[in-house]
Amino acid sequence: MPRPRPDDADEPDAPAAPDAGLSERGRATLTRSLQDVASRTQAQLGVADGVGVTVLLGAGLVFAGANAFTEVIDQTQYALMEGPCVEAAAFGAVVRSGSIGADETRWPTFTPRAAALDLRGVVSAPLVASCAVVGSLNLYSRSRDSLDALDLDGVRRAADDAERASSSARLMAAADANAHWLGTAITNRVDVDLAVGFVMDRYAMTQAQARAFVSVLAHQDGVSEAAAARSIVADARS
Amino acid sequence: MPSALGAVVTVVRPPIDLPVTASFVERTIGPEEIRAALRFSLAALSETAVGSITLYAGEPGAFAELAGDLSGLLASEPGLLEQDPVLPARAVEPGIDGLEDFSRVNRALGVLLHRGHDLATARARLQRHADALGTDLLGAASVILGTR
Repeated sequence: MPRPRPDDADEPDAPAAPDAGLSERGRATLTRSLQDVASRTQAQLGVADGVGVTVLLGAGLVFAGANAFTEVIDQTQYALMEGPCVEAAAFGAVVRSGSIGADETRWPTFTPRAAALDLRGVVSAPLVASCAVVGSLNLYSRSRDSLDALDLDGVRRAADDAERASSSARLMAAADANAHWLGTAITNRVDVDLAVGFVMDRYAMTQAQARAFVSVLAHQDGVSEAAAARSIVADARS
Repeated sequence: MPSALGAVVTVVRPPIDLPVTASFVERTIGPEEIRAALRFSLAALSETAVGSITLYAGEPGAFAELAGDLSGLLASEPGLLEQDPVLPARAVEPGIDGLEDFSRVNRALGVLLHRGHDLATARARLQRHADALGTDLLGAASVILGTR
């Protein structure tokens, strides 16, 4: 869902990946839901040492796994933004490797780190909703060939199931992220408006002049308009 | 959820009771397209937030599963979830409503800050001004900004 711009207010910076801009409670709710989906999928497939589910939210992502092994692999991968699951989500295709720690060369930074964590095999399938990739289902194995027997159609069906099972939680998380964004934008807007009124009265300026004053000050100081606005009111009152 | 149409988020920032509403929809959604809605308080996400999120979908019952999930999560906090809110009678358009009114009141509070008030006393002063004029905060803010 596109975010409407609050006109000339300071828009909060887009969160850097993997931060999805969720509230603490929203993140906890989504994580719990994804852990449930991952655990159910692991039981359903019965072959992997770990199953993880990742969902994309705006510029960020949230992931959760059925166990600690899965989560540490995912943490490594998403910190680097390199690896089979990143690739599956980026290209919307199933990505498979049974040679982590051997002759796998596609992810030169991720692979040695994952091998040190005892990962040997991986299958990652995109989660697709309404023709858009919304995340990935990630299957991890400590043995080189245990995932070889997996039928890719079965993996795709499991990914479809995971997409459906996580859809409510994803919708809730997207709404949470948007509410968080709006709340931050409004907070910044309040600071700027208070400063504009303050400057209008102090220097007998029009609203437009006062607004420009705040902008120029922010530019001169190399800070956001909200930060400049806060300093105007605080400095004058201290 | 294929039939999801978007969300409307309403935020209230004390001490001003004017809501700001943002509609996160891809396009203008006609009221006849909206067949399901689910509303929950922002307090469900953050204890300090004031406002609500309303989700819209094109299929009746589209939020039944989410409502069930949320009911379980919010069982200890009744009143945060509204499962069948009244569907909108007018089109839902992308954009933000209420922001200009909200800004006007804050600019007036800024004027009062310069005149020696803190935020709490400025808010009280603006309310007294509104009461004296027989208007609301927005009307009082317009007078302060206009006669400055």
